[in-house]
Amino acid sequence: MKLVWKICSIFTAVVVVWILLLLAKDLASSVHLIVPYISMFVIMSLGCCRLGVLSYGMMVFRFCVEEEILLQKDIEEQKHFSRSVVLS
Amino acid sequence: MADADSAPRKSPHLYSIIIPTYNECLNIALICYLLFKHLKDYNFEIIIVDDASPDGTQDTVKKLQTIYGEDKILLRPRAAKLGLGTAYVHGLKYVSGDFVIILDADLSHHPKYLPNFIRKQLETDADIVTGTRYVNGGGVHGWDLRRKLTSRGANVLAHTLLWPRVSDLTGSFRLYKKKVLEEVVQTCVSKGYVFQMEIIVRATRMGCRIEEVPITFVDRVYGISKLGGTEIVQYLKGLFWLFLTT
Repeated sequence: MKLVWKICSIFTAVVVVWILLLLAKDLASSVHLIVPYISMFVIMSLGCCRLGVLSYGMMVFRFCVEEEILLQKDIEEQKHFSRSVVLS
Repeated sequence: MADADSAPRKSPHLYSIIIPTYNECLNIALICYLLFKHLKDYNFEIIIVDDASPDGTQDTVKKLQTIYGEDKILLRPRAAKLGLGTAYVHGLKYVSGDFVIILDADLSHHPKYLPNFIRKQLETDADIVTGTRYVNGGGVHGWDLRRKLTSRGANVLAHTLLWPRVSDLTGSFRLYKKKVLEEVVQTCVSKGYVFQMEIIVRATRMGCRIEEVPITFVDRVYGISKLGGTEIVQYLKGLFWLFLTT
């Protein structure tokens, strides 16, 4: 099954449950106050979660300064090799 | 170089390395030198697919063929700049190895990681071994904060929409079993950076076993980067297209 259909199925199921909760009459009044805002909470939570993943990724993203030094050594080595091939 | 041919090999397989090039005359000699240096214990061939570079890349490759041998470096040019995906398809026609390695000519992918790729594949019998910058042991050099944020952000967005089983979707440093690459590349239609994502996503959907090796990505040594605003827009369009079709 294609991923988009899986995601649409999950989304549809969540929306149906949310609508059923909205239409339910025997819920406590405190729960009734929160239910209309659940969708916003979910969207904001998803956004915060992704931003959190991005922020964590940026914090642990390694800067490899030593790699440039090693690459410059490789460049010098190759230049030396090219000169020796040309001379021979 | 001739002595390396008689030395015992660490793997019985032949590895075909496809390097698409466009205006890489400054980098191609160095990348070939590093490939011969780090793969001296393996059987390999290098297939250079050049898209009619105006800077003399093909002349440089012909000189390299006289040094390393025409059986080791195969020049398979094309008449015009036709894109990365078709460059792989073109290079695949000339592959005689069991495995295909794709890497960029601009030295952002250092050949020193290739023995790790090969070892990982032999240990796990993976269909694809991909280099990743985003795990422990990986990293980048030469990127400013904006570039790092763009890359990480693009990857997070791709993960959110595509649910792949790899950490680095946009990288192009990979080892494939030849049959797997032939099968997957037939189903790909994207261009540019999206093409790299499409290959790995379609391979995931096909049930291919994919393993990862940490690599360090160094921003190109010579030449001009091909990442611009247009590529970013194309990436976003391609990402949503992949979301809807895979």
